[in-house]
Amino acid sequence: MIEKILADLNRVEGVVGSLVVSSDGLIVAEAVPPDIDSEIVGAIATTVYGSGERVVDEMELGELEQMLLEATQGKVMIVDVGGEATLVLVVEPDANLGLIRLRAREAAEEIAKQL
Amino acid sequence: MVFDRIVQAFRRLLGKEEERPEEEAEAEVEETRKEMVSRIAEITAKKFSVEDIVEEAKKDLGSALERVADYFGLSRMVIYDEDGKMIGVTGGPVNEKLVRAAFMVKESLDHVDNIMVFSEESKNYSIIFVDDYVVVCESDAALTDADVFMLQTDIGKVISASVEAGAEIDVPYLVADMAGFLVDSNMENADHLAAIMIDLMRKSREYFEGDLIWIKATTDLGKTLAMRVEEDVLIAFVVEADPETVDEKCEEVFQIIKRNLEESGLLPREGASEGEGTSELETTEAG
Repeated sequence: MIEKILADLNRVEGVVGSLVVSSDGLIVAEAVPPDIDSEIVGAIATTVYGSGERVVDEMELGELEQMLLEATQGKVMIVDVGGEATLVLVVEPDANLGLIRLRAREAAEEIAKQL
Repeated sequence: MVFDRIVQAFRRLLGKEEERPEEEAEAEVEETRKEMVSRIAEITAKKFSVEDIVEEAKKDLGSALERVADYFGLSRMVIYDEDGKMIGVTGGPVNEKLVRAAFMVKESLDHVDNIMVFSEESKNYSIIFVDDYVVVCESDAALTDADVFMLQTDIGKVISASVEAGAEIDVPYLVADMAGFLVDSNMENADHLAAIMIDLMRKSREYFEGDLIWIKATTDLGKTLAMRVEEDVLIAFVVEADPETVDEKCEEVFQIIKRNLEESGLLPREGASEGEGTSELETTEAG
């Protein structure tokens, strides 16, 4: 079922691949093309999201819901899934982020129900 | 070169060189005279005009400081506020230990106008206290009492003009070098935040092989912490915006902070030659 949600998410223009990573770094489900190393993407999600949570917590900005890492070659969006896991999206560099943010949030809510 | 030509002209007039037609000799003397007048005008134009520099400081502190440093023959000039935050620099940062010592003296003595330090490397440091600011000047030649007096009187005007004219940043922000030292911030506990943000940026950059542009972290309160490294300086700030407009807002705030840093000389201007400004920030500690 989670794989279906990921496959639907990948159909949004600009999304290259997506996966769900548990808070301890294990890949729960993935829908990524073969040229993307899901282990590395999962590691980014765990390491970076953990550090991001610490920073926003120290700054008292609220609960971290989403992180976006923008690089010249592409973007990685990490969305909280009920505090238990994260939904990670690999996105093209010039993608429409507004729409992807919206769809990613909806997908994260669906995935949270499945976990 | 001008003086060589004058000597040659005199030699000719005194008949020490072979005779030349009188008209030709007169033309050459006239040309030399014109060249000297032009050179004197050039030197006069460079005269230190506080009013001009104060006006310039409103737009661009870095450029104003460069003119002041040029006039007084300073190789470096750095201005710190009372909290030890660097607010302007030209020629690169100065020795941290010297700066710390200056602040220690300022705190220890009730009233101190300036400190003169002569280093073993034949460098002269003039530390001038202007209102709440500390101005550290490095030069090859020692500043005269008159120079120090002028600097003390006028640099305050330059700083005030710049501070008053500086673009207001109405969001919490933080600027730090990649060594984790705080450069500028309007947030509490900024030293600690700078350290953990640098840690986050370093971890993230490892995965992107230096291609990383932005990190944006959005919370359930609709607040987005945006971080970006520019010329080895981390610029971080918090904005509140809708998902549709957050990227635009981040770019707008980033440009304001970047421009302020460029104007105060803490970041090199776009198109500035390599090695100017920020790379040297890595050795600078503030706060």
